[in-house]
Amino acid sequence: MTYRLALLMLFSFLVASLLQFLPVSEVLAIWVPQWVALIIIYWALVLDERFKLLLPCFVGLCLDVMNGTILGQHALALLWVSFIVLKNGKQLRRAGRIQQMVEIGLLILGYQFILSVIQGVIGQQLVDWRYFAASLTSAIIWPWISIVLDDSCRRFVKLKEE
Amino acid sequence: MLFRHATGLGLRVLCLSVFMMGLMVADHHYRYVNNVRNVLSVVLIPLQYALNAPIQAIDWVKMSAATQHQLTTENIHLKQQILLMQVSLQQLINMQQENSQLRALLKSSSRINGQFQEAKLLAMNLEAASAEVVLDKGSRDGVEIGQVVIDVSGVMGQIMDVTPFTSRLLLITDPRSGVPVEDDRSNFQAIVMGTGANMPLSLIHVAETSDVKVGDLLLTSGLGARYPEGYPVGTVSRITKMSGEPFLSIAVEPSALLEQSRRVLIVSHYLNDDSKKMLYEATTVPMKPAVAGGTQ
Repeated sequence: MTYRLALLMLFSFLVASLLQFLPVSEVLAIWVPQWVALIIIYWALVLDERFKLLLPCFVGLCLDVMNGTILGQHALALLWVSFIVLKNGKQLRRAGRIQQMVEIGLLILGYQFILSVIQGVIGQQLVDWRYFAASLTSAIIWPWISIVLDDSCRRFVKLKEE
Repeated sequence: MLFRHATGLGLRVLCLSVFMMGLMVADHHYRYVNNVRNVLSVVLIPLQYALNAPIQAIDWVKMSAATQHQLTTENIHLKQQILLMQVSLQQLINMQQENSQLRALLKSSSRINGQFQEAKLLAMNLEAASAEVVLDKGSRDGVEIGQVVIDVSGVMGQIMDVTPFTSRLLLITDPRSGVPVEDDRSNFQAIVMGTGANMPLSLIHVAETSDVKVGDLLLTSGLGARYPEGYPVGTVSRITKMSGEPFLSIAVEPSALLEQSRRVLIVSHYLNDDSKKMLYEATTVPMKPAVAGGTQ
């Protein structure tokens, strides 16, 4: 993994976590997309076999610390999401834009479902259905994320020509 | 990696999943892994402060855009407030003396003045369904788990988690939070539980015959030795009688500005040694057999 790629990945995660934790009003809060999970999905799609599974684990642990949830909750959810992406990478890459959006939305829905199940199991307050609104906005935001990151990859890393 | 050559993707995911589940169990049940949490939280501090930066910038722009006229009016207003407060403080000092004399007469323990430490909320959009906020003071500043946090108008909650530079405040609206309170008007005692972020609190286990009315102010009662005595928690906003239920359902509006306060106070060491000793004795006195007092 080249160091320029590592730098771009680090930068993308920093921006994503800033966007995810940016304080917004209570009405908007449920619509904030799962930026970090989307970035994980993107890198799992692009890097495919070079994607290290320790990455979603570490990022997930950071999310746990930031959110104050039990250690491992987000890490496990991100791990399973990236597993699904790595398993179905070919189909996902080949899918059209709309189909890709739907699939990403479903992935984020699954991610949120895992999180809420873990929260339910440890006996914390269960979320209501509005919590899942974020998967809709995540699906809508996905094409823009992939365009921006594809573009920065092409300019900054030259990943596609390698 | 341990299994570089022979293992497939599924097996690696399985191994990591098992590890993560073990971590969750260790964290949830035993709190073994607080070190991991502390190290990660130190790594993530720049991020937390970066998130706070836009809000501070807005505050700063507001400050610097204020005209001289605005500042002078604000200044006059604040001076008036200080004057009023100093007058009421004089009365308070008098009353405190009287109170301590009366308490000495009654031979009850003296009320303790808490020491306060100022802290600021770090703005963050937390995903958890629980009602928590992050403060900018941590164990480096002497914050401990269990300390109570108040703002200008009432009790906000208690510290539930401390890292070297930040701490996590469990608000009284969280379902895990319970505050022993006392009705200011009738001295009726009960417990206020949270029901969820941005929801009214609930006064639990109150029988229909109890003396609680809409509009009553609830103060902390000091029982349980966690919350210091006499701070406002909320006002009773609605009392409903459910048919078939043994208790009333009472909604309480919190006094503290839970969503708006940016500056808060952490109360430290509100128990002096005497009352700590008393509490200790009260909780560790061996139970006498029931017959001992009755017949002899």
